[in-house]
Amino acid sequence: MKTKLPTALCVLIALALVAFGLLYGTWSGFREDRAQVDELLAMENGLLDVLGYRAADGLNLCAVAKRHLPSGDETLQRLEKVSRQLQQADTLHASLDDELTQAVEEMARKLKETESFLQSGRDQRYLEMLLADLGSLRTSDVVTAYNQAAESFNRQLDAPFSGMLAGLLGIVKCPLYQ
Amino acid sequence: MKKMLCALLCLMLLALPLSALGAARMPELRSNINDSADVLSAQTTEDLTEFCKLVAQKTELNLYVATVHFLDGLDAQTYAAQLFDRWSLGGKDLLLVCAAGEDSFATAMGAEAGQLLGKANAENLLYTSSEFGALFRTQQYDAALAAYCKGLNALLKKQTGTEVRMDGLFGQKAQAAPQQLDSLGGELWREVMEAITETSEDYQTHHSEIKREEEGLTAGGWIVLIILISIVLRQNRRDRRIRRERRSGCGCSPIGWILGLLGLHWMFDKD
Repeated sequence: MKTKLPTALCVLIALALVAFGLLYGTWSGFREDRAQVDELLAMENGLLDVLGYRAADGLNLCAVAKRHLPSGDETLQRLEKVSRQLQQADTLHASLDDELTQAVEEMARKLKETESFLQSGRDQRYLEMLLADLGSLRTSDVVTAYNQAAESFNRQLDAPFSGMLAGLLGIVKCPLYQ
Repeated sequence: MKKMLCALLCLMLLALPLSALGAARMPELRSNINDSADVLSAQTTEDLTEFCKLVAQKTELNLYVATVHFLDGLDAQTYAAQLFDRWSLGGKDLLLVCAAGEDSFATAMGAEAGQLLGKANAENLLYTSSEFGALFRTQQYDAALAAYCKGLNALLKKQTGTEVRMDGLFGQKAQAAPQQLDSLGGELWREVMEAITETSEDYQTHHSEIKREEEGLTAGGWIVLIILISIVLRQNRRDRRIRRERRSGCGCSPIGWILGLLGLHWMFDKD
């Protein structure tokens, strides 16, 4: 026995299949691209590790500063707090990293005004070493690679049709570092 | 029940700060003496290596020394324990970690080494039973390590009756004044930076390869194409006529084709 479906229903099924293909293709494509960007963030020696190392440098600077400043010093406490927060972060917090940069600069300024620090050649060299490491971590290749990948992904998401569709399907923009 | 819950909560609270902390930068194991901070003289490194060899021959205890500038926010004991695990050190191993920039140090040891030396004795070696602690805190690193080895030798003699002859080792090296380090060796951090650069390059190479593959037809794609062409070409006119005459079903065979192709695509495009 032959069963025939009405033409309208066939057209509807065909349209539904096309729509499904379009939605699924957009969603899976954007999801894969997003996964590539996230990989740069979470992989070993990726951006999160780099931020963790910067936070560690902040704590290392605290160890140097404790030799010259009282433990209750406001700048010291601020640097320690922001470093710990950044070290424990499991997602990208660019603002926290900016805060760390400010706290480090403030600490360096304060140390350079401290008599005991000015008399310690060793700690002056440690400060230089830590500032250099913080700077080179901030401008390391993985930061550039992440920013490029995230910008490229966000540009795709800004595209008129597919980007809007991806947005409706819950794909969000990648946060940028710096 | 309440007590058990309280104990569990306390354990969780104790474990939280450790697990929450990010990974610290740690040196790679290269030999018994890993002077990443570059604070030991060549002669002291040589003498320490020789001392480690002699101790291992006489007592089977393996001494490892690691120097770094900083502990990346960890306390010395935690850093030593983590480095001990990272280096996969064993029961008869004793690790001494020295952080020059933080004036702090700690030891970690395996169970057999702990039994041989006595954990408390090994801890005392850092503070009271040798001058190590005082010398290290005043940046006399060569002299501190020499004092540690002499103290360890005396402890081994007391505990096992075995003594290592240290003739000619560390003899002239004990320094009375703090060592002036002209430049701070940042070998560990340099290595980390190199690893970061390498990671970024690997990532870019890997993804440019994927992009190149996506631009052309993959091996899987070619196979699917060949199968499709062969199916189409295999049908002669007679077959097609017979199929037309026998046509039946609900007309949903294209869906079957789509699902079949999706299945093939999934099979061949799997990593």
